[in-house]
Amino acid sequence: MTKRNFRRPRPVAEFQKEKASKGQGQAGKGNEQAPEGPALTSDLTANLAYLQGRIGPSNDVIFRKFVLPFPTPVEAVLIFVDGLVSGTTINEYILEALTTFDGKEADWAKDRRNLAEKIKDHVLTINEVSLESSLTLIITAILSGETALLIDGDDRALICNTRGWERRGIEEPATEAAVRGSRVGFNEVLRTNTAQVRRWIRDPDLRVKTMKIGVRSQTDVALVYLESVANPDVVAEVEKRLKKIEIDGVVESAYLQEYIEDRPYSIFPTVQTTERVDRVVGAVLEGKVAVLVDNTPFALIMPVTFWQLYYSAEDYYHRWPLTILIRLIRFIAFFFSLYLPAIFIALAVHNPELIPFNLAIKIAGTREGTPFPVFLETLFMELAIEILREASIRLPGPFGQTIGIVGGFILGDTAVRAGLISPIMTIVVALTAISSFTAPSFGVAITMRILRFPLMLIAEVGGLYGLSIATIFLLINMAGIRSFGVPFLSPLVPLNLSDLKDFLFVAPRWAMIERPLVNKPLDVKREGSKANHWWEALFLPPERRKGRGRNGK
Amino acid sequence: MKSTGRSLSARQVTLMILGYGIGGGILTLPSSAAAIFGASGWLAVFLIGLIYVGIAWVAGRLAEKFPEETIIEYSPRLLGKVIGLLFNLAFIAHLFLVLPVNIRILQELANISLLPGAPTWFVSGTYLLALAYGASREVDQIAQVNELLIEIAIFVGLFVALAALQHFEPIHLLPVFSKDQLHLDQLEQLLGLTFAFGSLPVVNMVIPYIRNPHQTTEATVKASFFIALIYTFFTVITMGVFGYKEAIDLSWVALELAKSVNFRAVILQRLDLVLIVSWISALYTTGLISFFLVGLALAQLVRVRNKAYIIWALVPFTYYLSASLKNYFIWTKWSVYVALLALVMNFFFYPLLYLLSLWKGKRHG
Amino acid sequence: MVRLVQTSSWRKKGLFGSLLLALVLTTAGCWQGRELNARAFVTAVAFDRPTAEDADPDEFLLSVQIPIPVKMGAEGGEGGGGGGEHPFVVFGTTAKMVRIGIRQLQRQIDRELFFGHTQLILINAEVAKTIGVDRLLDYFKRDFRVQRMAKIAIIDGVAREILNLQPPISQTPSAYLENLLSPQSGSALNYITDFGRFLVEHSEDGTEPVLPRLSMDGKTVQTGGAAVIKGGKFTGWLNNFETRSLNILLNQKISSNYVVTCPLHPGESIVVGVDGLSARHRLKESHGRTVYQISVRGKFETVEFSERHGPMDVFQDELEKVVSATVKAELEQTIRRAQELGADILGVGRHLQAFRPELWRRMKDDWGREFAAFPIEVEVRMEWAMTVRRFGG
Repeated sequence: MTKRNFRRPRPVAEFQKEKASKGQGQAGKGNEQAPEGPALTSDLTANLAYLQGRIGPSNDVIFRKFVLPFPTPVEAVLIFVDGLVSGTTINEYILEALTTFDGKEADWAKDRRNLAEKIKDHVLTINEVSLESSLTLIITAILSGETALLIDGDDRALICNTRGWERRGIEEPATEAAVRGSRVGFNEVLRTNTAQVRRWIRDPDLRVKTMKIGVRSQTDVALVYLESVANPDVVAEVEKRLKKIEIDGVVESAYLQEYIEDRPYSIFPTVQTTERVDRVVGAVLEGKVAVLVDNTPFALIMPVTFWQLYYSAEDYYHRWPLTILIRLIRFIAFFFSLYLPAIFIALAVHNPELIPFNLAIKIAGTREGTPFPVFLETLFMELAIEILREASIRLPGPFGQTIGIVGGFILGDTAVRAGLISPIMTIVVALTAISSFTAPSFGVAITMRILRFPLMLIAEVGGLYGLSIATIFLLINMAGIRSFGVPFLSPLVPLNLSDLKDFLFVAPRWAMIERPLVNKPLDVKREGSKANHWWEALFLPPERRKGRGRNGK
Repeated sequence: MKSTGRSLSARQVTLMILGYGIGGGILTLPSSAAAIFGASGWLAVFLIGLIYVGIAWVAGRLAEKFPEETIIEYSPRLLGKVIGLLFNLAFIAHLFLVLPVNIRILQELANISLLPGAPTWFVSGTYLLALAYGASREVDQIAQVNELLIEIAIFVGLFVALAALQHFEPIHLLPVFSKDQLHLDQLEQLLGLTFAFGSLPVVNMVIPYIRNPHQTTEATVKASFFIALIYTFFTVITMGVFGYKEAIDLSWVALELAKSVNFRAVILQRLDLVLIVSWISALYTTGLISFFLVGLALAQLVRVRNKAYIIWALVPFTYYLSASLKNYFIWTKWSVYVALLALVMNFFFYPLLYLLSLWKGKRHG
Repeated sequence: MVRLVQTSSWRKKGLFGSLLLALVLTTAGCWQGRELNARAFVTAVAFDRPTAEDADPDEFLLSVQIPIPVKMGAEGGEGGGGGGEHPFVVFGTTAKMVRIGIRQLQRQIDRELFFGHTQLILINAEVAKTIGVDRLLDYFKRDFRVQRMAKIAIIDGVAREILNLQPPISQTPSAYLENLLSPQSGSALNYITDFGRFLVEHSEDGTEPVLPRLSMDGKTVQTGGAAVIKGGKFTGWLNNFETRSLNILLNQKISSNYVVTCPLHPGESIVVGVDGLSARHRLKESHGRTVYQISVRGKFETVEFSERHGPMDVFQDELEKVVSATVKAELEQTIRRAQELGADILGVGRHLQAFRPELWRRMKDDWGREFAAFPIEVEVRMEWAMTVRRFGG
């Protein structure tokens, strides 16, 4: 992937102007290219031979032949993949309906033309049925759990939705636990996931656009957004990038993420991943676009800013004063997780006069006689922590805890007692590790973990000067990143006063009357607010507004 | 070159002028003001600042006359080809010569405090690389970085200044322009003083990127006024704390200010290094914008599409120049020449170009 | 689009190149970086006369105090070799220049002497008189690491002995003395100042610095009194009460106690606690002369009576007058002392310079003598705050 040309979505005003001048210029959407590959013929044997050749050798593909009891009996074949389909659906609503339907004597049954359509209209008691004539698409449909009904003499097949496979129940996401908030996460089935989003937002404008990506895997990918809110340019850009992907198979949404990110070489993720439904819903309501991928509970949300990677879904469920505190603590923890070991090294090696005397002499006292220089000691400890972390993830639950205890207590304590490392170092390293766990998004936590090591080296060589230059480098890099046209560091730079109400300080919900402007939403104002400005809303809480609240009864 | 289009807000332009203006100057400015004007140096700083606000208005109006072009593009039309070219060269030189001084100041700061004993090539080299890396970016990226860094620097600076108020004695600011404290003959110091104020070329170079060009004058005037205020504030605080005599003797007055702040209860024993760390960002914005403008101007002059080539090509030369400024006295002398060039630019060429543009505009209209 | 791709790949190369260069630079070497444990933190410096009798008058004995980290560390109590031994060491050498002395000391010490944490500089009065405080401090004001908040004291006695003293409560003498010399000691007889303030007052025309005095009495150190520095050299002491008055005159925010005689019962004394003092300095013209006027306002409280005490409501006015007069007498004594020494510790010259530049121009060349003769008026008004707890006997 080369660098993106897409710098920013057009401003909404421009977009509306264009819309007005063009009139209803959405004609371009329907002309999707017909898929290549052979088409169905009206000869059932030939069709069957082709399909047998393509997918027959797999044992799990079932070809069920039977005869339709029409006045002139017609041969038909049901093709489906065992395990992907619901047996009862096929038995009761397809086979039974087709073989025992009454009305064989009806007028429509006598004419054999267009039989497939007639069966669809009159016989099948399946909710989702479509007609398809391209063999490639039919095969894809079969492989995705649908059932193809081929009828002799018709060059169109009936595709019935009979999907039904073993699936994991809906559980609380393990990686993004929350104290308050729904306990629902996505699971591995795309349909279930889109349905969940739908259950949250019953807006007719909610669009779920599906496409298949992956030449071999043919994975279903769904774009979810609110049509009247999300900026059409962003939606179009996401769609364009997704469509350009040429890949063997999509195993997890990370496969797509790497293809559609603005800066694939950057260490910062520019797409947010989550397995919480509420998070996706919240993002969609703010005018963002979510991409749900089949076979993984991890959805992608875009565009995203750097700070949003540090917001947790739960931030919005607490009352706002608490949220301010939480955010503050999280940003401090972020700073610690990135800089603490580096600053410790810089101060201890180059500028001890910055450490208060009593602390400095304590540190010097505990370090007396330890064999390694500060830098190596920190490096060893950080590496040890990383190893512990990796080990505890790989081990099943109870063992993970054991590793924590063994590593944390025994290793650390004995090392200190043996005089190999100084106690202050264990404090620094432990604080850093704990701080890095506060990042609600795994992706950004990894970035900080990676960055910590070069920063430690820089601090050893360049002290605080090196750290400032390194920070400037980082900032330049981050200022250059755009996530689908949204500057990565906004709303801080470029400053956006309206968006600052959901930044470090969180305004009460009723005061957040505008959707985040960085996303350039079509519909800026959230519904239901009467105030024109957020400060107006801030001093006009709901119960004081006229014609609302308590005197309503 | 204009692929990014008009992306800068008026606020960002204001901050870019601030970022270019506020740099190493503020660390030494109170000292030179005290040397020339004695105890009333703070008032002199404010008055000089006000003069620059006037020039800022001229520069802003001039820029607004040609909202699609930089000064490099329209100066030959106003001045004639040959003089225009000479002007352009001088213009670029006065932007470029800021860089070695800037690098040198950083080198001094780092060497006296943060990294004593570190070799010159390490400090100057890494800093220069950071400058070139930043300057070769797009204009909106530079504006964003500048916005963040200059805000941090000003915030920390103000914090330190306010914390130093505990030692503030108003009597140090008097008498007003007493003639036995005035040393107006110290022309070099005076020129060095004006060096800190020259921040106007920014607006004449970035105007093609400003989202609403008609806000340019307002942004420029606002920025120069801010610069005047901030300088005055710093000078008032430092002179009030140290008295003018001590202020003359100190080479980095603002840092001494941080050193005298008693801030025991905090994690850090002292504030001066924190001030330096944040001040590196202020220095950096100056160098960054200067380097960027040089790249942009040269690219337009020699009609190269990509300014990054020019910027990276200038790196060795810049390094050589900065390394040849061996010590404090040499680089202060050097900055006097730059200041002289800047003075000619500001007080002769800007009004001249503005008048010419009015005259030519009238003739065409 | 094509152009964009090209520039971006070019930039990638540039970025990669600079990263590589940065890596080379960083691995190339580590300079001057010193571990905490490779530094010897100097907490206090002392200057004395050399012990040899026939020493050069320009020479001084430089002593530094260095804490031993292990004995002050977290587990110092159990591991450090318990009891008796000091948690610090004192080294000394004779030199003519401070830096040379430091270099000489460095030869005995395996760690680099580090002055970033120096909190205390003690100067023997005799050295301060002959060599001069400004000369001794010259090195410290040029070293960037030395704090402007460091405390300086003039020692009536041998400064080095104070460094060797094990303080009663705090761990090192430097911490102990620093607390003694800072406002938290709460003593009104103690002049509070620091290195930065000394430098400012010393550099300015029309004001002379004052430094606190420390004296050794057997095994204990005491604050109280101050040393007047004129032209960078020690010129004379202020005694305890003069120091207290100087604190009042210079607005040093003190609270103190005075003993006054009871206006109703002669012979009886009352102790009053004085607080909330503020002094205003200004120049005024009276009878064609410029007079420096200091008006002091303050509050007091009766805190102790000797035997008999009168009805409070009666003697309020009298008491206020008596207290004012007592304070005023002490303040005037201080001003007399300053004028005797010819050292403008009040900053009179500073005011002249700011408000009467023409007068100052005439006087500045011989300001020491002019100051001795300059008319200075003190006006004191003390009010009884009356926050009494007990009315009767």
